[in-house]
Amino acid sequence: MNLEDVNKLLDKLEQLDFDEVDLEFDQARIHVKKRANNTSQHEITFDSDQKQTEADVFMVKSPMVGVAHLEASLKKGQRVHAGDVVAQIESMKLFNDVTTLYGGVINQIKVKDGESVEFDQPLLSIKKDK
Amino acid sequence: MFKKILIANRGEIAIRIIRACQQLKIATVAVYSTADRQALFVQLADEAVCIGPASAKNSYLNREAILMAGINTNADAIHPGYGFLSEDELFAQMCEECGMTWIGPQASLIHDFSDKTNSRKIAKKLGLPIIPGTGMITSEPQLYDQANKLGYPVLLKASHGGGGKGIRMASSAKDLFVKYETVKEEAGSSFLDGSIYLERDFEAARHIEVQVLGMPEKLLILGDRDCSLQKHRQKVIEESNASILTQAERQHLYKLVHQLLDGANYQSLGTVEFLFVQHQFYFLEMNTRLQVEHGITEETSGVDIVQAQIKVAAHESFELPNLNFQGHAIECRLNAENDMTAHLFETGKLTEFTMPTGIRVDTGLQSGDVLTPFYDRLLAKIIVHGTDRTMTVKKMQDALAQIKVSGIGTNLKQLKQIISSEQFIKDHYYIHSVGKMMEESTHESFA
Repeated sequence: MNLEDVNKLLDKLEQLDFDEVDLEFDQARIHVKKRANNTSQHEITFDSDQKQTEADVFMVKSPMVGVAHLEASLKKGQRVHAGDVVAQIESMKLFNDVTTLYGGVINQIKVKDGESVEFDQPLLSIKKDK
Repeated sequence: MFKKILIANRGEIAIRIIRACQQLKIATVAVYSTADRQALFVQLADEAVCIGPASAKNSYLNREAILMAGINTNADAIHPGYGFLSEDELFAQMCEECGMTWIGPQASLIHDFSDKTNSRKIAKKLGLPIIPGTGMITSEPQLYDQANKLGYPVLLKASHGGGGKGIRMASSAKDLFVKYETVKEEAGSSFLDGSIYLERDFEAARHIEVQVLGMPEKLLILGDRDCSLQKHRQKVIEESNASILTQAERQHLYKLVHQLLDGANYQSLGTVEFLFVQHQFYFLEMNTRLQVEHGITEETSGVDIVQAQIKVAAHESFELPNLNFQGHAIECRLNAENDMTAHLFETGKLTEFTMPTGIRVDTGLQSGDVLTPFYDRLLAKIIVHGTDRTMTVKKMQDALAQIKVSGIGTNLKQLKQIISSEQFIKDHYYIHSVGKMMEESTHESFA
């Protein structure tokens, strides 16, 4: 594998959606890590109802498959702070806290308490503080 | 019978299992990573659950996520396919603990027969000839000492390896040091297990394997396969039955399989692999799962192996038709790889993906799909069946001529070259033949 091959490979990888990958060929090992720009779980999504403020709304997503348990007090319009626990995902009888990365006002609650959720499923959207 | 099966796998084998379930009127649940959101197998299943990000470790190898997907969708059984968690005894046990039937042998049998060191010990005890090799290597001085005793070339193997991963050939002590580090690392990341052992490497050998189906009262043998044509220790072309065996050799081979399994109460699908060197069989290993190349055995035996595997797991009593092997079958594995280096795993968008018609093609892909670098490089399995070997080879040549793939490189040229080579047509090849053929053709292109 020469430098040109490596460059071609990197170009190809650039187009694909991943964070980190290990590749191995017969005589070469390559480790590629992409800069995390928009790949975090609290990625900014565009909600069609929120056209004017769309960039300020972000989605809290489920980090795993399980059963969602929402904090009882959670309501639309309620203010939350960065780091607050907004839900718990029960998986294999363990309860895993889901926290919000940003503070703001709850815009929409997307799941019901006790509902089954999959990985990456939106749980609630939050209108970010300016 | 089961009402709903979760398929803990992806791609063509997930589709193969979905089809078998549809014929048995069983609902299916696909699990998928974020990289497979658009995949065909996700669309074909009755339900689908996203279980994690692209990296296999956090999705298809994530036991808890898969089990929770099964619990949430009320699946009553889990089919693991091949690769990933298909030979993971802990996962098999966890399935049962979560109230879902594991479609495979019980955990203790996976422990005994799937672990290569354990199965070799058992085989040796039961009087099967095994390839000269060592036990688990625990220190570096021991590694070099044992290799010297065996004599080079040696094969370094990871106990839970397979499919070409975790296996390296070393021709000298110096070479061994380099390969040891590679295998150790591969074994750690791909198979969640770091154990390594050594085996003597043979030159003029054929890889012959026997397909078994363990039923409550008996162990059925569904024929044999010749899988000698391998590249970097991954099977490329397989044939069923192995046409080089004489009737007496075949009888002896099946006797060895019974010797290994008759006392084990093995009630599932399995494959027992042997090396065939100078008319002598050496036990290699056993796979306690469905295999990639099961299709050619289905063609020659007339048995739907996946359906049979599901029925056995559900304790359904059923009668298989009288096993009467018909004709010959060949499979070619069309893989994504760079034409230039012939090693590089090519990824990208399949702008054209035309498969042969009128024959069996098992694939998880369609034109327009994007091939990601996270999983294996298998694009499609091209399977032909004919009345005799000569006719089947001709059918395969015609089938390969119909294939058109653009957007990514494939091994199509190599497959055509092998199928039309004198060695293949005369059925005169060995486990190192593909490597040698490829070397020769590289030299030619430089000339």
